[in-house]
Amino acid sequence: MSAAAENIYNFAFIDEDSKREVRRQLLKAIALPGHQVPFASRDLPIGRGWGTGGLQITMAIIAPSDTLKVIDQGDDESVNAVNLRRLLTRTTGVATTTDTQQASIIQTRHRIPEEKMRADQILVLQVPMVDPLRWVEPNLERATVMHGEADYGRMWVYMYESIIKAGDLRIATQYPVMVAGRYMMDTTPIPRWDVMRLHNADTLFLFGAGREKRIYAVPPYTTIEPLEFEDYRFKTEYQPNQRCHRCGATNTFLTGHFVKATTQDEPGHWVTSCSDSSYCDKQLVAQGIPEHTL
Amino acid sequence: MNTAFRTPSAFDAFCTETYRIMLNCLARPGTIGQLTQPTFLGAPAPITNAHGAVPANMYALGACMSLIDQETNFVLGCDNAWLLQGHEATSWVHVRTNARRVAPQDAQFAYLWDVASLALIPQLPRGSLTFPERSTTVFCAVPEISESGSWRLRGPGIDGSASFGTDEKTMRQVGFIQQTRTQFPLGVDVFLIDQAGKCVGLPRTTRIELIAAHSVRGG
Repeated sequence: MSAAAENIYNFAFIDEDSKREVRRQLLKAIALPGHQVPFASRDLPIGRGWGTGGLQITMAIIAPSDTLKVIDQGDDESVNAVNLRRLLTRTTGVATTTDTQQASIIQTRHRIPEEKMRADQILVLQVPMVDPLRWVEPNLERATVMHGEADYGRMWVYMYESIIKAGDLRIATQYPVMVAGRYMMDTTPIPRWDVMRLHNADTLFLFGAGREKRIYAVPPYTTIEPLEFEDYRFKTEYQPNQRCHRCGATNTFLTGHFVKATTQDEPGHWVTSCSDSSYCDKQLVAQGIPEHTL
Repeated sequence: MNTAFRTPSAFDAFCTETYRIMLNCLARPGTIGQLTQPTFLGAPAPITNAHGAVPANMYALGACMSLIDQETNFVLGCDNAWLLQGHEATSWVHVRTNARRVAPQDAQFAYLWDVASLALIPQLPRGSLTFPERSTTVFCAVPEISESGSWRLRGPGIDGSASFGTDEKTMRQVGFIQQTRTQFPLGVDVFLIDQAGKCVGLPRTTRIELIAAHSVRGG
């Protein structure tokens, strides 16, 4: 096959009109922090619900000079991250990295990297569920009117009922927040651990939901207030005795996995490690462990 | 890894480069971005009015054209009046982008030839409470933008406050932009772009004050 015949895709896969659609709605999203802006979500060679919203944002903004990092649950090597990275590099030729500090665009599912991001970086989040009001108002048209009127009373009742039923704010993920004091926003893509990293950050956060066809954004230096009561405060997943079994970090978001029994004397057991694999590896290298052995 | 993409055309590469600058300017109001000029596009004929023959600012018109296509519409303003459907400049933009010229109250994008036309902003849509995004994005050509000056900005995207400067003529028109910030989430988002391609983004969240020149020097 000739070289020309192989170059069958537009730069960054989607066509220029599709990029312009995403670009226009992103500008509106930035001007309306936390407001869900509808956009014409395109079909991609990846199923909707597998990161197509974040992917379309990355495709719309990426330039040949960018350095890209793609993570899934904080991990550079899991299936979703590897597949999306492969599609993006095949169709853009941009440099990729696993180092948070080196990247200019980071596309992520379910995490904000542990290392603090800078003003010259952009974080693109893949969003599974868009509307925090879905719990209390499944009808999209009515929920849109509620957002328009900043009518969030039913959400507060939901929070109250959560305390009455469970004794505390029992919201594991999808923690609702107020953005710049106006719009209620769902933080579905991230654990509670990361919620306050959105607050007054140096970085621009762009959220894309391909299946639900919505884009929203949190500009830098924007206030983020998690919903909470004076006597029932917002809490992260932090546990006083938490520790990563690999690098020993006590201040990171952890994931658990099961280690199979190796011999009869050593039974299988659960261990926890940093969900941000790049951060964990960096800690190990800093402790003197050679990089190639990781 | 094998790559499989075509080299972007000059216009496509221009659109991507310009977009990242606009994105940064809108996300960080007060930050001055440097746009490039799409020389390969040429330019519409200068518009002759009482001030003589006024050429288009191709940094600003190019930035506007990088966002519009057959899915969208636009309107052009010059010397405090809208250019009509049949105007030479309107046709020039239409044949290059496929975007339609519409009445100002329906416009998604507006390019303003000069700062006098900022007075047209009240005629543009600000969106509705349910769909505040159905509002106009304005690109206005201004004489000069500088790092320091009387414009003081506050709001999302700004760490505390930010400032930048413009010429006197632009400063006198600030009221027309301030008026679009009184009914958030309704409003109009504005890009000011000067003759050298310096760009400032003023999303509807940005509150603008003009500080007297002596207090800027003093403080």
